[in-house]
Amino acid sequence: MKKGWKIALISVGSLLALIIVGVAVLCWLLFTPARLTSIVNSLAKDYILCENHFGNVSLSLFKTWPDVGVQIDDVVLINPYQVPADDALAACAIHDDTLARVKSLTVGLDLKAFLKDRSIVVHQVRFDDTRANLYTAPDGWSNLDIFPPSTDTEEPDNQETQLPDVVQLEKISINNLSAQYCNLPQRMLAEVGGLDMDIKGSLLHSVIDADLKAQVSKLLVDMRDSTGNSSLCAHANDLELRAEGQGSTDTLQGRLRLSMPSGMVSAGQQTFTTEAMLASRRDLLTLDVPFHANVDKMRFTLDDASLCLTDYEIGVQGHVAMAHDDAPMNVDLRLYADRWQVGDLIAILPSFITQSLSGMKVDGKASLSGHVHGVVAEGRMPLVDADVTLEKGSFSAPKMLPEPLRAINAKLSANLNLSSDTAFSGISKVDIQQLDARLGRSSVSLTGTVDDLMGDMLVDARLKGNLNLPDLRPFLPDTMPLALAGTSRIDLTAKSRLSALTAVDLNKIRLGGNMHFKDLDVRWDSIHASSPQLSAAVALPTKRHSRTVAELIGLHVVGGKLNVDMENTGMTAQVSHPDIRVGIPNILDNRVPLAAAFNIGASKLNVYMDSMIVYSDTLRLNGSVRNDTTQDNILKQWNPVADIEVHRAVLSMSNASEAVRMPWFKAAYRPESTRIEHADVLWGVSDYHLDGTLYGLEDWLSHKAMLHGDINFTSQYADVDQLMSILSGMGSDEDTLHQQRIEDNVPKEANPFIVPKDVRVKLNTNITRCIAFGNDLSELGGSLTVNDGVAVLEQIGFTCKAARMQLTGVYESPRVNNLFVGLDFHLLDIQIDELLDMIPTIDTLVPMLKAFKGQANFHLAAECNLDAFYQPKMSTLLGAAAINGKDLVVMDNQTVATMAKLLQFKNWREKDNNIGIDSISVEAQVFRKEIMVYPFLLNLHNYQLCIAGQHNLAKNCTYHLELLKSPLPLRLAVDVKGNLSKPRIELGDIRYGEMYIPDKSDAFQQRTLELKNLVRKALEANVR
Amino acid sequence: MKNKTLILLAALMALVTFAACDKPVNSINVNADLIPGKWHDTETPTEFWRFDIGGSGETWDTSEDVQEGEGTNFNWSVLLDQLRIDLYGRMGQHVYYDYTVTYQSADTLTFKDIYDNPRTFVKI
Repeated sequence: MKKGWKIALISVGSLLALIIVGVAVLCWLLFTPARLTSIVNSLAKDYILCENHFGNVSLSLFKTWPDVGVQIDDVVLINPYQVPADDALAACAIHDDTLARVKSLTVGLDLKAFLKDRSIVVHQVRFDDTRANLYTAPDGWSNLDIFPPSTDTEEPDNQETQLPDVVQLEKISINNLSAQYCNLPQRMLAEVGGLDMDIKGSLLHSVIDADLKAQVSKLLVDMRDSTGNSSLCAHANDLELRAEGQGSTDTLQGRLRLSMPSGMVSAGQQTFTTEAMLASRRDLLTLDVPFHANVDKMRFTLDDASLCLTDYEIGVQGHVAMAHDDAPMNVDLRLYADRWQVGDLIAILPSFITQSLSGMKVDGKASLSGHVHGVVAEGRMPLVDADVTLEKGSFSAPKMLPEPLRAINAKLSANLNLSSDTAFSGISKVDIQQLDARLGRSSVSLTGTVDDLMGDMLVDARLKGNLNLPDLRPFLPDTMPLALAGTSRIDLTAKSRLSALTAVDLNKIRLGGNMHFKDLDVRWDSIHASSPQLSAAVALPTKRHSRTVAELIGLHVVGGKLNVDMENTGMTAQVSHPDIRVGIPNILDNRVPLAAAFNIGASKLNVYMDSMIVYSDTLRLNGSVRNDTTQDNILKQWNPVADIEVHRAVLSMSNASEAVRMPWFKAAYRPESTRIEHADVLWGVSDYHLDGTLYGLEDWLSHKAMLHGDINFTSQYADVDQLMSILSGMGSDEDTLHQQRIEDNVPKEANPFIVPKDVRVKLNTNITRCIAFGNDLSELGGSLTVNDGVAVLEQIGFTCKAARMQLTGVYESPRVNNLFVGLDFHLLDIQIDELLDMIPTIDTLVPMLKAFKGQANFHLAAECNLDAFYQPKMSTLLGAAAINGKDLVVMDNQTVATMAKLLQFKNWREKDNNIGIDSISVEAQVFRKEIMVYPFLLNLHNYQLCIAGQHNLAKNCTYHLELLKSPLPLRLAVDVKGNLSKPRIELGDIRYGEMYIPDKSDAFQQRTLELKNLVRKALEANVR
Repeated sequence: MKNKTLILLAALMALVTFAACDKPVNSINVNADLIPGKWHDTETPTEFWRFDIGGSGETWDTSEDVQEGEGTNFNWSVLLDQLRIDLYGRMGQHVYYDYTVTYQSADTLTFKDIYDNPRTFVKI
């Protein structure tokens, strides 16, 4: 630079400085503080209604450069007021009549405008050390109403307030402002302390450039209800706010930032901030909101805005269009939160929010993305679409879940319509795309939807999983004696309204699916069930329908093998290929009794119980049960109705030498009767077929009534002794029998048949061949009735090698050592020698019978008590017998020859030298050891004999033989006395000569014949 | 021939001697009022007979472990010197005995059957 230019510039500068200094000195001389102070105070009286005071007023050039500044010190506004004495909110506020006290108020004025057209344009305002106390009385009066009413008489237009086209206020500074605001109508008390704020900006020809910075060391807002209780209370410390915006009113862009390191917010009794929040190293609340705005259309666009509550940030993007013209408010915002640590978030949340999680521990990383879009108006809310994901979650609640859920991964999406206006309301729903969790060694996966979230939710879900069954045990009560082992693969679907789920209304819940068990092992008390593989399908409602049970829940179990141990009973059952279908009604409906319909099938069934083993090839059991808790009998309690069919069953017992085989068994059980449709039984060489009906089984089991029955019993070969060994003692008390044996000194070897008690069963027998008491019998037909300790054989017809036989027998066992047997026994067309071989006792009854040969009919009615070895007690023997025959032959023995000789028989032999008898009719009675033979006639060729007498079991006899008809005119009689083996035969008295001559016989003889006739008729009456 | 002749003569004598004989006349009338009570047979003391008022009764023998109540029931009646015992079995059999009482006292009863076999009961 040339030296000349340099000198010139210095000179000009110095001149300007001199001018400025001159102007300043001139201003100082013209506008002295005293003069200015006087001017301000005089003006204040016109514009401020309350008491006021303005201290020193001075001009400043440098503090507000380039504007000229007017600085007013010690501004005081006093506007006294009275507060209600009983107002709790007012009592909390500091009562001060001083409306405001400003230590220094500086106003920067545009000097050019003032010099140019004498207009006052304010560019800057600055408050230093301000104290303010604002008050609004209950009647709406405010101590801020210090300005006179406007004198402008023009009606205000209805147009909205518009920003002036040119706003030249470039800076507002507030330093150290403390204020209190008490608004009694709105029940609000607010305080701010240490407020420093700078606002810079301009609005020039619709172009905005604004920048706001504020710091507040203390901010308090307290809102109370009419009773004085706090409804909302918030305070913040060291609050920082910065807002900036540039652009025209239709393309304004800016950014709002707020940070609040600490504070407190409470509403009512609830505090939203916690110590955990305040302990965070991060600010309690931060906002960072970049935005674009069209002020004219009131539309704001947020660009990547964020809201942070300590460490938890929610990002917001989108726009908000405020209600404008006729358009309602409209929002379109997208929210997102990334990988929140749920556990930490819950830890800092206030207790009233997390109290529902008391005792629970929830963790995981949660992410949220949402879309809020739509109109906001009365009755209308924007639609909310949200996607929530949870990763590596865990949930533990020891009181609810004995084992924690872990590895929770969830992905859910929700569509919410919160509008209350029915014209715009819609279905809100949640789509559970994935919800996986692990529990112990189990894992489950849930998918589905929840519709109508705001109404009666409709849940449609599918649960799949692999369960380790022991993991389920902790969920069951400790008192439940259940132990589980094995695994299960489940696939279940469910669909229900929430109302139905809440009410557990099974009629409105749909449930279905399958469970596949592997290595299943279940123990319930003493019952143990296990299966290598078992599948169960459940259906609610079931498609099955039965006539006896209103089935609602269906269960279908199939498997390869199922083992059941009942340790209490010592029973073990092995089932192959079980196929079990069970249907039960609504078990939660108290009006419906507990019931079940079932169809049970198995390809093989093995049952082991103590010394008994049962095998069965196929089993089919169909039926139902219905519970009646008022009954005491187990059958009446469950009212079973069942059809059972078994093929190729085998029953073996360790104490039995042979197994019982049952090729086919089919029966139908009903409460009133049990119908045995088909029962084939093979036992040793015996075969039995039974069919018939049993009645009153339920009452019989409860000891209320006897068991009745009518059974057809068919057999090709039957071992009666074997059957009796089974049935012996049935229905009797074991202890009673044992006691009897002790009292009667019955040896162990004696095991008589004890007739079953409490039963009345009739067996209609049709036995081709059987063995009974060592006798081979055939063609047995008749009925055997067992009636409460009495066994009655009714007219059993059978054939043995000697004759046709018919037997009616009674057998009772009142005591082990005192049995009763009664017989009505008929032998027809019998060979006498065979008869004596078969029943040697007959020789005792009618010893002379062995002297005859040929066919006869034998009738016997007798009864006798027996001891435990079936030995007769002769003192109880009481019987009557009748024998008749024709064309018999007398065996030629010495006794007959002797008698014939004494009676002078001649030519009494037939041509073949046999002794022929045309007919014989003998009646005898026995009581104890004495046998009495009624007089009977014996026709021997040309002779007729009458024989009568008695003998005893020692064979001592007194017999009388009298010749009634003879070729000789003689009436001879002989007496046979002494022992029958060597009798003494001597002539005797004539006794019966007129017995058979009517009108000549005496009363004794007539009565004897009558009795003889009665005996015969009585004995023959039962012959079929 | 000689034997036959002797027998024939003897038979003829018997016919002459006994053909017109009637039964001997009864010497006592049985007092039915003395019958009821429990008796036992003097020859078999374990054999008991209980005659009940009204004509029923029961007999049992304890030597065969048959106790009272387990024995055989009967009906009894008296006519002149006759004591009739009717035993009715459960199988329809009817057994009767006619005894001729030869001595009766309050505690002793002696009778015989149709073959003159005597029995004596003692009341207990």
